[in-house]
Amino acid sequence: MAEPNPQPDQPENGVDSTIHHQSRRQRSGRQPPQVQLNITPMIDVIFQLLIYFVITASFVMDEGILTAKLPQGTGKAEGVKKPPERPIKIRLTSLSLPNECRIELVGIGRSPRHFSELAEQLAALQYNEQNPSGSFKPDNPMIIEPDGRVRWQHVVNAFNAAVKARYTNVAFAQAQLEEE
Amino acid sequence: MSKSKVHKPGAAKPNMNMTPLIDVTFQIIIFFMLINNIVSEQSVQMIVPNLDEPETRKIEEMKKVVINVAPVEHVLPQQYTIKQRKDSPLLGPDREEAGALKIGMNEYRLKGPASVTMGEALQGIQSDLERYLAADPEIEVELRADCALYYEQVQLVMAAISQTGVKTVHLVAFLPEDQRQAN
Repeated sequence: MAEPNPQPDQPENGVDSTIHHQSRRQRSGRQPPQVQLNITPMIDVIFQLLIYFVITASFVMDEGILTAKLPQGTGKAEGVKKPPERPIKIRLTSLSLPNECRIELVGIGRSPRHFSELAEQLAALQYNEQNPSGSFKPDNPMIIEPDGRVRWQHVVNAFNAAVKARYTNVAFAQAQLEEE
Repeated sequence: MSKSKVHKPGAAKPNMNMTPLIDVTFQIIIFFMLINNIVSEQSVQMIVPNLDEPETRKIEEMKKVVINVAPVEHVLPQQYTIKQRKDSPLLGPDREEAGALKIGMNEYRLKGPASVTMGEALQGIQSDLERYLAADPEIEVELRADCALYYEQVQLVMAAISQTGVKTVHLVAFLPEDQRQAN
């Protein structure tokens, strides 16, 4: 049974004339125009959008907060008559270069050159278990006194130094307008 | 005739099904668009202070209102590219003045078209803040100010905030480097 009709097993040869004619027509007719959606550009654009949104989203999330307590009232310290504590004053003075500002610990020691040094000096001044020789309690009032032309960057930096040295009662003074 | 018509002869064409990939990518895009809007709807683009040895902590979920003190370039055409600003954030003479104050979704422009004076803007901020306080007396304020602004500009806003009786104000600055990667 297998020998008399071997044709079904060898259709690829296509030598049979009857099939040959049909197959040619059919070859052109059988293959329908392939409808293919080219999605490569779409994926390109989608990835661009994705990268854009990932970058912009993380940009905003890099921000953090420093919690400050604002003095109540007009900004003048009125209710601090009773405690005999002397406030620590940090004076910031603007210099001609915007990236710089002069830091002064009013009446205490020498002026720190940068804000990490300010934090170290403030920590050394604080009285606590590790540092019994310190002369200011952690809740001693501290006033940051920038002149009006000091950039906000430096003011927050001074506040950050106070927070780093674990002072809890930090206030901002009114802007001092320097008469030159 | 016995040849199957379903399995055509010849090499099989590799066919990748991209549909799930595109589905997922669209989901991610929509997610980031929404997140971005939620984060930035109250925030103006600016460069907040970048501190030495920062003690900043992450912004947690809380009942808050964001007050922005934006630089002039927020309302006027930008003089510097973002790249220049990031390299040197305190650059330029036109950045030390506030260009707009924004509380929640409410913006008061101090420069350019439809601008108001600083006094009017501060009054607007105060009355808006009083409305927030009436709705929730425990509300906290997040103060975002550009690092290049003069203190005298920001201090006016701080004084206005403290007059309304808000007790806690959070100053916004960049997180420490190691925590930035965590997001």
